[in-house]
Amino acid sequence: MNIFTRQLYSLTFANMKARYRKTVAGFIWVILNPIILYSVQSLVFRKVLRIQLPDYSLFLLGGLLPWIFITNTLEMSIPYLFNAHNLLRGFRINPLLLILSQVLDNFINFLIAFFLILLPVIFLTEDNTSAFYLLPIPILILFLAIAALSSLASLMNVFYRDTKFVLSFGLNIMYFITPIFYPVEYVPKQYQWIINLNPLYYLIEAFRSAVYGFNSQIFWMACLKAFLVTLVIIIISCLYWNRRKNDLYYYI
Amino acid sequence: MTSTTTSSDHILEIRNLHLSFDLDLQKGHTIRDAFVNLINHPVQSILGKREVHPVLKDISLNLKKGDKLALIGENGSGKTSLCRCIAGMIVPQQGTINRVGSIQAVFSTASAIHFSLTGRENAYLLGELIFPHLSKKELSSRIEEALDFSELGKFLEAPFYTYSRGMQARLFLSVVTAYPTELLILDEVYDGADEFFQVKMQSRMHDVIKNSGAVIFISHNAELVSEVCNRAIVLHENEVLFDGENIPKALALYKALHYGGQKTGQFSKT
Repeated sequence: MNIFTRQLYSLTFANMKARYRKTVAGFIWVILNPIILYSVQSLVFRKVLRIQLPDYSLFLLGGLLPWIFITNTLEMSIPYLFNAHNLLRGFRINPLLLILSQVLDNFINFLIAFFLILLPVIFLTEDNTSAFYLLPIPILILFLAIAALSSLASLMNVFYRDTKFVLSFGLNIMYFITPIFYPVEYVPKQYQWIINLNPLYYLIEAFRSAVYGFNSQIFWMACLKAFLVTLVIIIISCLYWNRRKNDLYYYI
Repeated sequence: MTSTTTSSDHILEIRNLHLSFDLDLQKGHTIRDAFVNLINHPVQSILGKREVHPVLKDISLNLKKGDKLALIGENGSGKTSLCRCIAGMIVPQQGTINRVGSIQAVFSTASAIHFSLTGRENAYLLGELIFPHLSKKELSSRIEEALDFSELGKFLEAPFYTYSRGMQARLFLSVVTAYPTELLILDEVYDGADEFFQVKMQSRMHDVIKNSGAVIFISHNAELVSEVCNRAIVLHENEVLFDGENIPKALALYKALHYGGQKTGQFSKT
């Protein structure tokens, strides 16, 4: 194991230890959040709004769980770099290590919560049209994209200290204009362009197309689009870090 | 830009180092300010030049084995930035830095990785971060020794957020000095710990210094500097004003800058 991976592992482990208060109850506390959110939304959209979609539970799972991962990770990692000013100023530590350990911690939570919900949902779903064995591909793409996005936004938050508020506001809006709880086909033709401009849509769609209504051609196309979006995010993030990584120490 | 040379008594070689940073303080520190600026002065905020603030101008220096270098200068003269460059935290815009061997740099003693974890857990994490090349076994024996030295006793099992400033310093300094290094950089790190521990720490520090190849001290404590160092550099307005073995002369020069009514740097405080 190289040094970076070893340190990342230790830091992530420490994060989880601190977050779970070293107990199983603490772990359940953290996992409960996405499970409750999912249950409530599933109930409201099926029984109250009565969205007519076969296997809606599975459909919602494929969209909402990655969304919760995206928002939770961004909201936790964005203020992290600025809040860790004592640590960053104290000695040499790779700032990306700190952000990645946050992302990884959330990523593990996401995976556990996802599979915990998935089991009963599969059991209740009659017609199985999923390709779970292909899930690692969109999951990996999602992880890379969010790691890059978190690094970018976290550094931005050092220079523009209201980034976290602006982003939190933006994510609230994005929740409604990203096809998470409704299928993209519900969106009228003249508004489709809004969806097409939304990078988060591509990340979620790749994930969902493996979970719900699998079609090999659609799936690989969605993965390709998600990968291209991720590549753009990574490039922007690298350019920004390269330009401003020195300035970091003068602003924290 | 960074490479390793094989010469035996050279620890550090810096050539023509230039460093500056973007100072857009007038643009504000928030997206809201940026937005207001964009609406009020659209042309200026898009085309306006970023203000570049110089931090280090044309610094060259060599460090040999056995050098105990004091870095003296006013606030804002570039001491910490120079050390951050040497430690590899900041990459300079121009110039080369050749380092030999390991570097340990300490800029603040109030650093915890997780405030809600215990002192012991933080010590182990810190060890893993600053001595990445040590094996698990070697690391744990070094950390245990450092924890003993810190004399924090039962507080080691208490969460780090319950620690006073001095206790934080004790834990941090104990861990940092747990393993000798080729080049040790200490940036005003004696603050915080109590007198007893300072005395104890200094003898341990002397051991570490003896085992380290070279040391760079940043300190405003003239007594400490004259006692420990055998070479001094005075930085003034981002340039090297003095570099030599005559410590009293360096200190006198520094004092003259302060009290002599000369023009001082724009960030200087007394």
